[in-house]
Parts: sequence; C-alpha cells; structure tokens
Amino acid sequence: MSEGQYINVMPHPRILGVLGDIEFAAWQCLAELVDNAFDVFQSSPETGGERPTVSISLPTAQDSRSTAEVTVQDNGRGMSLDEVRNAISAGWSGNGRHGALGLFGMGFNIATARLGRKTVVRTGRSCDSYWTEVTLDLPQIEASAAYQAPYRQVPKANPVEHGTVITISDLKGEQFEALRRPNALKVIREKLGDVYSYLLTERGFRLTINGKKLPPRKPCVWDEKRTVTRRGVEISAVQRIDVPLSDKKACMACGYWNPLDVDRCRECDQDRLEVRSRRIWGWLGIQRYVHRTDYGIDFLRNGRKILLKDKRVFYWTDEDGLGEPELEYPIDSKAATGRIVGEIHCDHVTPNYQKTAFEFETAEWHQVLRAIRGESPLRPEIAKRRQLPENDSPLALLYSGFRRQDPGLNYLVPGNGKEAIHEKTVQWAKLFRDDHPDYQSDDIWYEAAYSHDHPHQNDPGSDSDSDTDELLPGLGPVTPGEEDDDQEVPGAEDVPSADDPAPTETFEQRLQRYRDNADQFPDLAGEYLIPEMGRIELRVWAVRDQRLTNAKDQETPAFAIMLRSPRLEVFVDSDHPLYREHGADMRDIALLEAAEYMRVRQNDNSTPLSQLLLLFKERSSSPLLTPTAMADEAERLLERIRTLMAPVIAETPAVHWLQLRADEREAAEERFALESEPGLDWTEAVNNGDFIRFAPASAVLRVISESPALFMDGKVFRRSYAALSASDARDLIVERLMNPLSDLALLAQHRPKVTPEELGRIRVSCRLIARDLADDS
Amino acid sequence: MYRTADELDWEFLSNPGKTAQYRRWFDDPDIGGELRRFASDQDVRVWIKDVPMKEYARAQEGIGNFVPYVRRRFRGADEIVQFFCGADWSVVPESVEGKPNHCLATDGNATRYVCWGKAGVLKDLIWAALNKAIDSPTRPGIVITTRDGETISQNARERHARLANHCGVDLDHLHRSMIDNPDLITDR
Repeated sequence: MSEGQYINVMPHPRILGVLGDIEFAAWQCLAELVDNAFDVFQSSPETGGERPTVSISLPTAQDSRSTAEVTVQDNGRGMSLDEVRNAISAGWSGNGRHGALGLFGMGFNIATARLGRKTVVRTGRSCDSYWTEVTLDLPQIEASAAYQAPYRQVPKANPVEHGTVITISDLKGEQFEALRRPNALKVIREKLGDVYSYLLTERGFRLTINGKKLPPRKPCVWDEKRTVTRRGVEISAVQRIDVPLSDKKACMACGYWNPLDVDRCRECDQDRLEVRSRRIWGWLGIQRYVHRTDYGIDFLRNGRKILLKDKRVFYWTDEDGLGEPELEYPIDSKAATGRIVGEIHCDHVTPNYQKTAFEFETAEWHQVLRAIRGESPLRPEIAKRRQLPENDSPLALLYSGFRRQDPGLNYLVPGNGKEAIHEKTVQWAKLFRDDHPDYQSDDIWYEAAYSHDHPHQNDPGSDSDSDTDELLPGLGPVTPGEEDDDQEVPGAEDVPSADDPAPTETFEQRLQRYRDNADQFPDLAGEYLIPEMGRIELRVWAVRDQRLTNAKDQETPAFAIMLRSPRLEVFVDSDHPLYREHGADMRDIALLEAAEYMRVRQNDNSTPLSQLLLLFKERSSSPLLTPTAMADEAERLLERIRTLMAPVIAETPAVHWLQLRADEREAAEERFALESEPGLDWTEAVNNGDFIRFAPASAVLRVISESPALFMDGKVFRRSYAALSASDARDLIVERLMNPLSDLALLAQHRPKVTPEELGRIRVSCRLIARDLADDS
Repeated sequence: MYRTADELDWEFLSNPGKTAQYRRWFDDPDIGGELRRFASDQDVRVWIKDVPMKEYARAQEGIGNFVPYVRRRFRGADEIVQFFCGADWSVVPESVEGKPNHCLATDGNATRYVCWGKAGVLKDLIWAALNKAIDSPTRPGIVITTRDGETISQNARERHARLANHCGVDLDHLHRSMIDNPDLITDR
C-alpha cells in the first residue's frame, strides 16, 4: 500500500443505537448514570451546602409507553458546553481508567441507548445564566448519517442553580415493560441501595427514586468486641484488613500498572502515567444470621460494589491450578448455609466494562485473594496432609472461629436452649434493616446465644420455654437481676404488634412448634411411589418434649398430615408411652400412619394395611435387618467415628499408636496400602495420627476405652464426660458407650452368623451410636 | 427534633419510617418524656405530629413561628414571586400565608395572587387559585416546586399546565435548592 492513503474508520452513526443492544439490566443502566454523577461529587464535593443528591424518576403505573420517561437528576456542579460534548460522545473518557466510577466513557451511551431512543441532557454551572440542553435523538442521528445532536440554551430562573438532568424518553418496549413489572421498583431500589451502600453511608450522598430515599444496605454483623476462643486464641467476629501495596504508575490510557521507574506505559506505550498509592482494605465479619445465599464478600472499586456476596474466596485452588477448586465453606452445616461476610476495597483492580466482575486473571486480583484468604487451604487438616503451611489469613482465623453453626456462645449462634434459632434470626435481621432501634446492636442475638448456654432456672411464671420464645422473640429468658433494672421497658408497641397480645396458636404454628422440637428420621425421608396409591414425599419428625395433638385436637402418639401435596409429614411423639413403655418401634408406627393416610386418601381399604407397610419399608432407606446390611451400616458408623477421631489423635499420635496391638498395626498398614491416596506416606500417617483412619475396629475401641475423656464432650461423641466428677459415674458412661460400640465392631470385623434377635440388638446399637455422634450428619 | 429530621431526610422517608421516628420521639425521655408531664399519651403523640412536624415543612418555606429552628430552608416567597412574575415583582408585605402557601405579588401597579407547593397538593393549589380567580381582575398563578431528590416527568408537567389552562390560571414549575437559614437561632 502506498503512503498517504487512508480508510476512514469512523463508525457508522448507527453505532450509538447498537450500543443499546448490550445486555444491561435496568438497574445497571441507572447505575451507569448514577456513577457519572457520583464521580462529579467525588471530584468536586462542593454543592453549595446542599447534600450531594441524585434523584431518579421512573415511569409509574399511570404512564403509557408514549409518555413514560426515565429521569436522572443531580445537583452536581454542572457541565460547560465542552464538557457536555465529551460526556455524551461515545468512547470519550475524561475519567481515565483509574480513580473514578466511570470506566470507558461509554456508560452514558450504553445506558441511555438501552433504555430509550431519545435523551435530553440539561446541564448548567452556577456561573452560567442559562441551561444547556442537548437532544440526542438516535433515529434522527442515524438518518442524518452524521453524529450531530442539536443543543439550545434556556435561561435559568435562578442563576446560581447548577446540576444535570438526563431525561430518557421514547422508551424501548422491552425496557418499558420491564420497568412496569410489579417488582421492578423494589429490585432496583434494593440493588442500588446495596451497590452504593458505602458511598451513601460514608460520603453522605443521597439517592432517591420516585421521591423516596434509598436506604443503604447495612451489613448485619456481630460487633467487633464479640469473640470466641480457639486453641487459646481469642478471635474477634470482625477482622480488619489493611494491606498497603507498593506505589505504581497507573496508565490512564489502558489501565496497566507500571513500575515507578518507567516513563511510558509498558503495555500501550502511552505517556499518560500517574503515580498512585494502592491499598487493599476493609473488613471480614460474621453475619448475625445464617443464610443459603445471603453471605459472602463484597468487593468495591472507588466505593461502588462490583462483586456482591461473592463466594469465590471460600474455594481453595492448589497453586498449580490443576485440581478443581474445592469448596471449603460452608461445609459443616447440612443445609449449606453460611455467614461470613465482608467489604473489601480494591480500587486498583480493573473491573470488566459491565462492572459486574473484576479481571480475575491478573496479579492484582490474586493479590487481593491472598490478602483475604492466604494460600493454604482453610481446613488445617487438609493443609497438613498436603504439607502446606498453616493458614493464618484473616479469613482462616474467622473460619476456625466460626465455621460451625452450633447454638451457643462457642460459635456465637443464637439458640433457644435446645437448638439454633436460625429462622428467627433472619426475621431479626429484617427488623435490623427496617431500622428497628432494638435490633441495631447485636445484643438481642447475643442474649439468645448466651441464654442457650445458660438456661434460666426456677422461673415459676413459665413452664414452657417455647411459649416465651413465641411471645417475645429475641428477648429470651430474662437473666436474673436484669428485669428490675430495666425501668424503661420499650413500649409495648415496640414489640411487633402481631405478637401482642398472646395469639392463640394456629394448627400450622403448632406443627412448626413440633418441627422446631424434633429430629428427622433421614432414613425414612424421601419419595415413595406405591403402585395404585400414588406418590408422596415423606418426612418423619420425632418430636421431643411436646404432647402431640392432630388436626382434630385428639392426643395421639403419631399422626400424618399433608399440608401441600405431595409432601406427607408424620409427627411422632418420641416420649409417648407407646414407645417408651410398650416398646413399639417409632419408625414402624410412622410408616403405618403414612400407609393408612394413603389408604384413606385413595378411599381404598382393600389393600391390607400390613401389606402396604411392607411396600413402604421396602422403599425406605433404612438398612434391612440382614447381616450384610447391618454390617455395612456398622462399618459406615465406624468410618464416621474414625474421621472424628483423627484430629484428636493428631494431638498426641505416638501415645495412641502405642495403644494398638502389633497385629492391629499391621492390619492398619495393610489397609493403608490398599486404600490411601497415592503420594501419602505411612510413616507420616503414623506420626500425624492419620493411621487411625485405617485401624481395625478393635483398635478404635481400645483407643477410646483407654482414654475416653479425649473423645467425649462433643469431640467424637456428644455425651458429657468431663462434667462428671465421680469415677464410678465416668466408668458407667464409658461402659454404656462401649457396649453398643462392641456390637458394631463385632459385626463389622467378623461378620458372624447372627439370629434376628441379635441383629435387632445390633440395629439398636447402631441407632444409639448414630444419635451420639458429634458430626451433625 | 428538627436536627434529627434533617439527618433522616424527613421529606424522603417512607410512611413507616416516619411512624417509627414519631415513636422514637415519643419514647425519648427528653421529648415525649417531658411532654407527658403536661398531657396524655394520646395528646402527646398528636402534638408531635401536628405541631412541630407540620410546622417543619412550613418552616422550610420560611413561613410560621418555627422558622428560627430549621438549619436550612428555601429562600422564601420572593424567590417564587420573582421566578413566576418577573424580576420587577415583589411580595406584598405581610401577605405570605399558608394552607396552601400563598402570597400577593406586586409590581407597583397590579397585584397577583400566587400560591405554591409540591405536585402532590396541586388539587389544593388549583382550588385556592380558582377561588381567587373569580374575585380578582388579575390571573392568579400556581408554582409547582421540587427540591433536590424530587423530579417531575415532562408528561406530568404538561398535564399540570393543561389543567391550569383549563381553569384559567397560570402555572409553572420551579426546582429550588436550600440555603443556610438566615433566621436560625441556636441555644448553645
């Protein structure tokens, strides 16, 4: 090609309209425009004494598509004609790549083109006597084949007025419909309140939608002064993070971070470099409630959240990145609920243009992850097994302190004396977010965790804990002495009025009370498809300490109820004399109730009840009463025991190694050779206590019986041991444990011929042990 | 109370938010506690709502006896009159009153009735203006005001104007900012 010839690469005017095809949710479009206004506030905070305010107005139900418009108005310093030109020209960015919320100078064009076809920008500075009003009519610009937007100057009523109003009309059909959806406003409010919570709280910015202020979403976390103790270390529920990084030269053109000694960007060779200090800072904390999704870390750039409730810090990836990332939290709760949250500012990490993610494959991002979670696995046992150093990052500290969700002060989880009250704490969190004054501090949560560990004594006025719980959520049992001091009892209307006066319990509430005080039979739970009888999903609740009355208010040892098809729930009063005194099997009765329910539902009593019971039994996952099935069950339980013992053994491995007989050591080594992961070393396993995971059942029993104190009190078995002072009593406890354990060991190890009666006894032993295991499965 | 109301952005609070704050004031020993020495609980509640907090909005307009207690407020009736009638016009002294906010404007020759308020009270403004229109030789005027945090769509503006036109009154829209209250008195 000869020199001096050029091809014009100026984009076609249609490009402005095409930008609107980029996938942006309505809230993201609004956020782009809010970002621009907030950038102005941050760069020139003076608004003449007025609170920096952005007001958004969205179409209301009365608007038709032809009249609907979206307005975003700010009281910032306003723009000169040159500034407006830059602000609305696609691809121009006065912000550079650093220091501002705006990114590529395209946010305005994408957001406005996404929402509608016509945009009017009216802006003025306090020194101007007129407003500058520019109209961007996309169809017109396209038709004119030139990028030209007309503007005019409109006199101001008051010369000192300043600010910018962006009005988008001729809304696109899809956007108009999306904005009119019943939930749209709520979603937008919640999203923006969350995304900008830091700027709204810390910078005093104000954001309104349709004349209502957006409340920032505040983190509902335990106070910094709350602590738990692990291995002698006190761990605060809030961990501060402040990692100063070396200064670098930011390239304002491409965003690349250069070392200080260069003059031109190493990435793009431009000379627009600015020295910037860089820092990773913020906090990690423990939420006062657990939730399936509402937890995780927020990552912010220049005060705006880019990642919300992000959970990638909870995964561990080995440094070679060969294995799949492994989830490390939450792994201790059956329901996979979590409560570690945080707010991490990392202004120097580049986000994607949609501001919904960072550039994850960069050194900067990995540095952020390291500052939070370190490099080793959070799980100390796994780290040790992989010969990685112990993780002492802020996240690992919180993990060791708060990974579990057991009620009480040990894990800082509210409880009612029997179990954790997770659902209630979620309701309290709502009151917290609704600004209810009683729920702002964590006192109510703390009281509930405290009183779980310290049940109140001699409270003659109340004979049922659960009743007080229902009436005064969060207040819990009053600690003696405190009641009298509390002269200014918050007015009765402070307690949500639904709870006042004492309501009569509805049937559904009664069922909830049963569920709250029950253990499920997981082996009976699940789907049952009975030929000609239909399909149900069964759940069986073994209710403790509550007398059962069915829907007809009849007292009964068990009843079945289907509130919503196909789920059938069976409630069994586990303290009822039918079981306690007459020896009926709760599981059998539960399945009988289910079977009878099916017969009544089908209006068919031609099938004998006992025949139907058999069909149910065949479909449940309860182990059969055959030697093989019981032996498998026993082996499964022993595996769980070994897993729980491993960390205890790891404290003094040599002591326990010596407790094994020679043949047991050999057996363990043989099994290790057969079953262990490749790359693991037997000597290492002997030294770190892992050998117990391969030891035969008899060895497991011997180790337990020789030092029972190590394994009781919630470490392997729930039963309490340390609290007993008399040695006879301790012996009895051990004996009561060893008897069923021996049954398990016998069957698992020898598979002897046994009679059905013996098998029955072993099944009971299995159930006794399963109930006593401290691993929550 | 006014300081708290400022901090809460009173005019942008939801109704449940306002109710909760009324209750907090009622429970506050320095506010509700003091008042309960003089009146029944019910009367105290009503008083908090109907006297200081109703006056709060008027005080921000520069109207009423509570003006000295708000930290920031709008410029007053002059701003309205000069925006609506022109720079040569001014407020007739002692003519500013509430329910709805209104005054008489004069250019030395003629006087005009001008009332103003938020779009939400347009009904009251129109009724007041209509009542003036049948008694007065000059066309009365209505000014719909907005403040930072409030916007009115173009469609709504046009509808306001058509309504006013239909009734034979003039109407315009004004966005106002607040200033530090020149009449503020502090007790400490």
